[in-house]
Amino acid sequence: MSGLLAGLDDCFDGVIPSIIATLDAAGEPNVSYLSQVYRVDDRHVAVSNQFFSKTAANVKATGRASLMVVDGRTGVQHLLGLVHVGSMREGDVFEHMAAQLRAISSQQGAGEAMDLRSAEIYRVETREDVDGPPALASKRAKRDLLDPCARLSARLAKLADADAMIDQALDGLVQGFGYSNVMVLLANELDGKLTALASRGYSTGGAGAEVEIGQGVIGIAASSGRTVRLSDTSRGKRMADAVMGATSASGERHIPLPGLAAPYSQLAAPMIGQGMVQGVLFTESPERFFFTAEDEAALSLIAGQLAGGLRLADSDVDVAPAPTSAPEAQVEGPALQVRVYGYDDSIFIDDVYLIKGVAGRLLHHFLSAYAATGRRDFTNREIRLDPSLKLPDFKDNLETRLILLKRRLDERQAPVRLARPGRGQIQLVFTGSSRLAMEYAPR
Amino acid sequence: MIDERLAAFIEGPVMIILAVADQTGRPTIARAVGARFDAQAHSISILVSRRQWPALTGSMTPNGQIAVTFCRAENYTTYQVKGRVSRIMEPGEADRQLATRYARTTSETLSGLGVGQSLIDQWVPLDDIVRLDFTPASVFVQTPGPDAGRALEATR
Repeated sequence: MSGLLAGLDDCFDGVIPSIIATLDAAGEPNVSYLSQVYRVDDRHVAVSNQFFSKTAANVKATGRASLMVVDGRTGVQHLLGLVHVGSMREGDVFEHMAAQLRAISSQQGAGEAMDLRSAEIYRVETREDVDGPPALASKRAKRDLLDPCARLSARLAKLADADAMIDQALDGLVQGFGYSNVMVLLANELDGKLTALASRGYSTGGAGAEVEIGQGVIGIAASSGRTVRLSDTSRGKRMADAVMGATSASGERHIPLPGLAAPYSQLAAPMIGQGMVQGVLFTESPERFFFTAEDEAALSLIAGQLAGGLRLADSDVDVAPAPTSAPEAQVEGPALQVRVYGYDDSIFIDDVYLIKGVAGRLLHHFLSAYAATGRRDFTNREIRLDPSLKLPDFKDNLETRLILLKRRLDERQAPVRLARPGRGQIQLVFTGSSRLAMEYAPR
Repeated sequence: MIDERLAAFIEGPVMIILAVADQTGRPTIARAVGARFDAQAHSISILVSRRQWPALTGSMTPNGQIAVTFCRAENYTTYQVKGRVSRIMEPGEADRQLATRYARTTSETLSGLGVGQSLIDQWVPLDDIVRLDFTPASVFVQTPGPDAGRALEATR
């Protein structure tokens, strides 16, 4: 970024509060802390207006303000002379600031008081760099992400299989972008939740772990459809706390969301395809200020491509031919105790919780068909078309739900697994005994 | 207007920011490195580095209007005090000790919140200090939230 705001990249992350001063018509000053300053371009900033009514009144009267922004990595201070040019209550800048504010307040446990009333747009007229000791923190090493982004994008474009796309995207972010911890989550509009599908860099994969849409960095990226980036979360409440709070009520059905014990930087990009938020691509780092505006842009490109790719892969699998039935001898052994709870479609095998929701309904369907007829092979097409399943509301996400189910069963090392012998094909695989005892638990 | 509780607050571990109008009639900002309330004189003294804040310290005039905001970083409790400058003077020994104490307390407080010392060092300059006394006229709650901006008490 050139011009008056050159070199101020680390002043707009909301880590060290900015300060705004104004005068009223009679010349009486007012000085106040600000939640958020957003750099609109190399000559304009947007300032969050939440409850600084005196600032707003003064700016209306005089059209001027002075702003102090602080570099969150070095502490170096800069004074900017501002001229007010307008107020925004909608549009890109407003939505971006609103999402960012919600993320910061949810992370700090501040609640609704942080709602954004408007984004006040100012032209920057003057800049003074405040004198101080030499800045200790070194300039951030510049990473060029355009090239790795293009390479990962090209690799994703070659794939038709949704499962492979997810692995490729996560591996590409680790190897090409240098991210230590990444996760992909799918939105389930029906119950207002995001479900983790796969991750890298954590001790558990976390397939099946849930985040409320609208909660925390990940949930706000989904509800707002905007990227959310936090550069120093050390002074806030851990995102995981909020996530835990939301899910602890489900007790034994809880799958913990993978997360760093001390994440200092977090970045979440919504996966938007055909105008719909289909999930979130998330990354975090134990380093402060790890992610830049460039990471934000690069991750959203990959998230968008992944959204489109998964959607295409999902509609495409119907063309697969019917599977060749592979009769297999029943393995004798103690029957697997399958317990199904109808109210949340959760399934336990031998008292171990496996999965619930849509993926739970799918597993229930496979297991009861197998228990009744011994059938182990299924197709995406018949699941879509089978009216008895009554699952039209999620049919667009069928493939990704199957991927979730397969990964969860693998991670849990369940005695029943899913195999995908061909595109659009599903096969039940038993690691030990293949005898089932189905039990339907009361509500 | 400044009761014992508020006096203790502004003399406690708070960040202090201030604004006055400069010669061209625009607002200008600085940080202070210490504050003291004199109940008998009904006056607040604050200490500001001329070297770091030439624009603001060069714009201070006796009887000029001033706004000073005190914020406790641990819990965001914030009050703004407005008034008029009564005196601009060289600091005495007690003032210098106050500034040194302030820098130490601020370092401890902010370090405890995870802020690195090299950042804090940018905000607590102790050289070329000037003392500024002002008479408080009104106090406003500025803790983030629905009450922000509410006048605590105003005499005029």
